[in-house]
Amino acid sequence: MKNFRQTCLLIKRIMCKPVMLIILLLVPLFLSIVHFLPERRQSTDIVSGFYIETPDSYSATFAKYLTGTSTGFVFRQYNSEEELTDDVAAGRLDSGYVLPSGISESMIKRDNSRSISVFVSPGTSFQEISSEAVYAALLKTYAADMSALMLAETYAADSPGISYDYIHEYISEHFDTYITDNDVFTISSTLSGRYISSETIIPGTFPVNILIFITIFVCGLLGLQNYMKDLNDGIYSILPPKGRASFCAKNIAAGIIPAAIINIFTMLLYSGYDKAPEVILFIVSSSAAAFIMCILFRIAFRSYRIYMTAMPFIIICTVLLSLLYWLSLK
Amino acid sequence: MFLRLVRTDLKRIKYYSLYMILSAFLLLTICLCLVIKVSDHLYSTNDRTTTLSIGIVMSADSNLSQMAYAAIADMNSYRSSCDFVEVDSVQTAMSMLDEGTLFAAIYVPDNIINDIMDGTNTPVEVYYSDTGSINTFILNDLFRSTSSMLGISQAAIYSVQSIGRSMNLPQNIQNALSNDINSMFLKCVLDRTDNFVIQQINATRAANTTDFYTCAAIVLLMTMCGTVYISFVQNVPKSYVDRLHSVHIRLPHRMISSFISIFVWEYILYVVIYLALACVTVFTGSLHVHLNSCGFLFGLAITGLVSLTVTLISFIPAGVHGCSLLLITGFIVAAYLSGFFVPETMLPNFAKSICRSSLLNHMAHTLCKLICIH
Repeated sequence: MKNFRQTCLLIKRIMCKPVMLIILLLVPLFLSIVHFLPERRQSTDIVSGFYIETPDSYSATFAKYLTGTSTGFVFRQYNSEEELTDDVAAGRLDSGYVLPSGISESMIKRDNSRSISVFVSPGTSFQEISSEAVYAALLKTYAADMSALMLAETYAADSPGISYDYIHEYISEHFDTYITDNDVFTISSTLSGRYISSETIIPGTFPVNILIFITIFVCGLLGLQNYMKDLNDGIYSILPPKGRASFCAKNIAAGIIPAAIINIFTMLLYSGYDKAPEVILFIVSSSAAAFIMCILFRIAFRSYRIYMTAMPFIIICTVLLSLLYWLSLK
Repeated sequence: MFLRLVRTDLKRIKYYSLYMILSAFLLLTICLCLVIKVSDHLYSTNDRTTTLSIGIVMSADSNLSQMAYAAIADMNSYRSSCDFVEVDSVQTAMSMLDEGTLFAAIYVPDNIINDIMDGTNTPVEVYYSDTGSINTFILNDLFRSTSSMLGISQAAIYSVQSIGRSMNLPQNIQNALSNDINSMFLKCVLDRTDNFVIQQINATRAANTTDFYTCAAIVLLMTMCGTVYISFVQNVPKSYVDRLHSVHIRLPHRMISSFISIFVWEYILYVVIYLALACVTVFTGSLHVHLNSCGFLFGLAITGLVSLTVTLISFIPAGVHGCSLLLITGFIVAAYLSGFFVPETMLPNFAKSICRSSLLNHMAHTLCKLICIH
């Protein structure tokens, strides 16, 4: 009974610390934020982007053909290169194509003076396939002009009086007729329409258990700090070593108990009352682990000053190790 | 008197520095494990990159078809996504599709090349085992892109041949024109990859994600270790401060002296970490940190910034806990806004613009360029 009363008094004392109150409010606050966050959705679409640096008379044809003919890929046009590269780098786009200024002239003259920059990230999977679609769209856009220029430059001299404009007009007209009348090679398949993407909700991966363990552990460390400070101030000097050890355990428990109680209620609200046995078991085991770790730190750090110096590191290392553990589980 | 204060502070700080070096090594080990792990988790792994089994049905006696098939199967886009299997007949291919041993089957009609040459254009038939999955539609896009390149070339060739006839060009010129336009489009299609320049980028905008996070970890580590020195500045008896006052040593002098002591030990820490990382590079090969004079010199700039921040925060009269909390919280916010936790391109828009002008981000990038050599 005396031990219980002493622990209650120590709890009352530690609860007056502003740091303790902040830490205790941390878990309910974080879990409320996580609870009210919108669900993360992931589309099964494979999206590639393109950006035309200097749009010209060919740009619309290219964009229309590229976005209109693909059935699996989604090609999205961007208004700035920066936005495009950001989305590729962040993994939101499979790949990004930047058509530089003068690409039309370079394609028609076939001088290879301009190249299309293809931005890929380590997460890119389908760049080789999407670049086939991009090149098919480029060829569709420029084939007639390429042919007209070649003919005008090489053979027009053999037919004086025939202008480039006539050649261009003739070829463009016939070219479109062949394409629209399907007088060229095609493939026929059992597939029709476009791919209809489905959106999947990504399950929440917020590491609740790790956050709860860290808060319980930090509260235990604050309890130990109280004991070390009292010891340093000579408050326990009249007690025998056994009595000091008992106060050490009570101080640590005084830090852990409020954290455990608050976390049980928060976790029950977060995960549902049907998981009560699992939640209680987890909190009890976390509290026991935190208690043992604090006792070990008491054995390792004999001086209050060293303990105070080491405390931020203990917390940082615990957070980093927990993060590492969480990443290993993913 | 001031020099004596500096000497005393340098002696006093040695007591804390032993703990700092020990803590730094512990943190370094954890941070390195995190750096290597984080790089693996930045991008989601895509299981759709496995090759799909495609059955191809064509008459074995058609040499031209075989050549065309070999050319297509050798294309990078097909090699990366398809695994071609030759099948005897359409019936066999259909039963294999039903069984699920084939993902798709392509039926190439007999004499297809001759048909293309004479303008008959018999279509190639493609059958899929699954008509709803993304893989099917992606494969369909690949087939359509390849066939449309051929179709577009054909349309252009036919148009040129037509104008050649309408211009009443001599027969030998018309033949030469046909050959030229054919070879022009053949060259265009075969050399199409020359039009693309691949540029690898990543979320951190550094040459390598692991390198960037290693450099970010160095800055992070030095600042976190700076918390040790808060006790060094705060745990000064009032009587000692009064004695310093009596010899005209005031707060600015104490700040400068503390800054010098912190700077010296932070730089020692930087050098130790740099050497340790270079050793890890030599023995494991998982990092790319190399020793060079620029790396050591740039360390002075990083140390200066970290020491200044730690010194200024340490002199705030908020106690050791308050100052530690302020330093850690402030640094975590600054590190987040500098792309140390979430990569720059994955940050929200407001943070992205801050990140691009952030001093910490620039420091990590410069350090990355100076010490990480591939």
